[in-house]
Amino acid sequence: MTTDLKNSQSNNQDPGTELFGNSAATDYQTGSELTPDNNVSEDNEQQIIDPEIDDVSTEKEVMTALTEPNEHSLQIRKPIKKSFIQALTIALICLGLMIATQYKTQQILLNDLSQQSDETLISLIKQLYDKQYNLTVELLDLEKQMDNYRENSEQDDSLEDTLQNELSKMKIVNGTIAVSGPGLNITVGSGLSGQDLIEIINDLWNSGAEAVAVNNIRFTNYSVITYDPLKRLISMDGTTLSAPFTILAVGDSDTLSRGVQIPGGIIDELIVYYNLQVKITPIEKVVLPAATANQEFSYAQNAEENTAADKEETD
Amino acid sequence: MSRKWVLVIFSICIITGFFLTAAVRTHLAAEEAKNTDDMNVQLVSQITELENQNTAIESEIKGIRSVLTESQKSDSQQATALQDLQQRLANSMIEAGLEDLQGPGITVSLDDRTTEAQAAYKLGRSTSPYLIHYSRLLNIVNDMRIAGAEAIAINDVRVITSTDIKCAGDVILVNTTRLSPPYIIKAIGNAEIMEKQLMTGDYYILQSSNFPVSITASNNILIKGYRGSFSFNYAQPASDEEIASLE
Repeated sequence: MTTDLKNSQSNNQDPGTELFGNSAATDYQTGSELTPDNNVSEDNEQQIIDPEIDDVSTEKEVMTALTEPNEHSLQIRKPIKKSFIQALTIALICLGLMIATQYKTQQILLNDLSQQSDETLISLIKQLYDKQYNLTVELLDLEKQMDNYRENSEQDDSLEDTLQNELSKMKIVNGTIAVSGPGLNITVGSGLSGQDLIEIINDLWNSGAEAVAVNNIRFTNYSVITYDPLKRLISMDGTTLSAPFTILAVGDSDTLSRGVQIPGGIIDELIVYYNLQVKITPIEKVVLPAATANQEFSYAQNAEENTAADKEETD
Repeated sequence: MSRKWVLVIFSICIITGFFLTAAVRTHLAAEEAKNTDDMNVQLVSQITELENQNTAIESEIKGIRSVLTESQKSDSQQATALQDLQQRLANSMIEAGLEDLQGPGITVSLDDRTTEAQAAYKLGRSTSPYLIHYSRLLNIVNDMRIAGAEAIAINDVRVITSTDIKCAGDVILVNTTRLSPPYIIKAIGNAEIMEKQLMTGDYYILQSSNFPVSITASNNILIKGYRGSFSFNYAQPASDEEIASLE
């Protein structure tokens, strides 16, 4: 109350519409309508008194200047009209605010559930239950989808693992990745022929080698060993090999070692008949490089899609 | 003048009073309704509760939906990755000799000199000069490789990286599979080049030594895939340090 008064006093000269509006609105909402109304009426009275003081002063002016009645009468009317409009404006603004507040309050009440009839509420509850049912159905469906997804995802993951394992195995088979492991080092001095090298590699595979390389060139399914008997030059996959020839194999060192040294085998023959320098060393870890290029086919095609070949085969 | 004013103030008061009364009435009616209707209170609280529940379910649905959408995105990415992986695996399996292949090429037939071998046997002499030895096969296979053979099989046993051609007595073993003559070596590749290459090596020696051998070119040779298994107990993919140690 005190703040209201202070505000109204300080704003007397310019009757603030906001101030009236605020005090009225807040008070209506809190439910104490009577007190602010008093305030308003007091304020209004104060406002209304002010123009009357003006009127008195103008009447004095009338008494002193009777010589020009027409002009004076005009002068008198003018301030009255002004103050009247002022008062009316204030009154109408107050009224407008009150109506607005009243309307707002009623709207709030209309929107308030507790103001609705029981029948309306029950039908609303039914609607909400229906909505909840539909939502729950949707939720269950989504959860099912989620479960399916998780299952598929797990299957995909295990499929990916399987494929990766297979691929990494194939890479070792094809020599497309460098490999390491226990194995054997066979070093042969000069005098080795291409035929001898082929035989040594053949013996290593026969002894369970898992990967073979000659002078740091990986032996693959498509490796080519050529020999020029006149120049006594061995080439492997286009690279001329020079002595000493270092043949590395990954596998069980003992088995490989025994396998290549069978009496009557190629190594035995090289040592005994050809007097070549051969050194066989089991090694805890050998590292074999990857083959440099992948094999590409220009003649062979996958036969799976075409059964015509099978038919021709049987003809 | 003052009369007019009274009239104005009077009418303002009346209108104000009217609205005040209406406001008070509305307020009192609301208060009354709140206090009296227990049923109403219950229903309203039920509605509020249902609304809250529904909001909760809705937000849960929204959450799952967004997870599913994300999952579907990553799913299709994974599917693409899987396809790529399957393709690479398929290619590497072809390269390793696991798939049936077909194409132009040659069929080489090698047989022992059976009549001479039997005669030598009867005479108590060595049959060895009249038999095909494993090293002949080994060299012929290498000659085929030199000539760019893309797939090779001996008596339908596929030649792969780790193929060993050995003998046990007079029996030739390829991939530890026992073979008996005649040895039919099929190769897919350029028939002409392969034939030429064979005529510079062991095939030519056999032919010159009156062994019953032949080379037949064909436009469509079928070579079956390797039927064995690959198992690696010792070889592992090399680490980066190990690869670096090679250089």
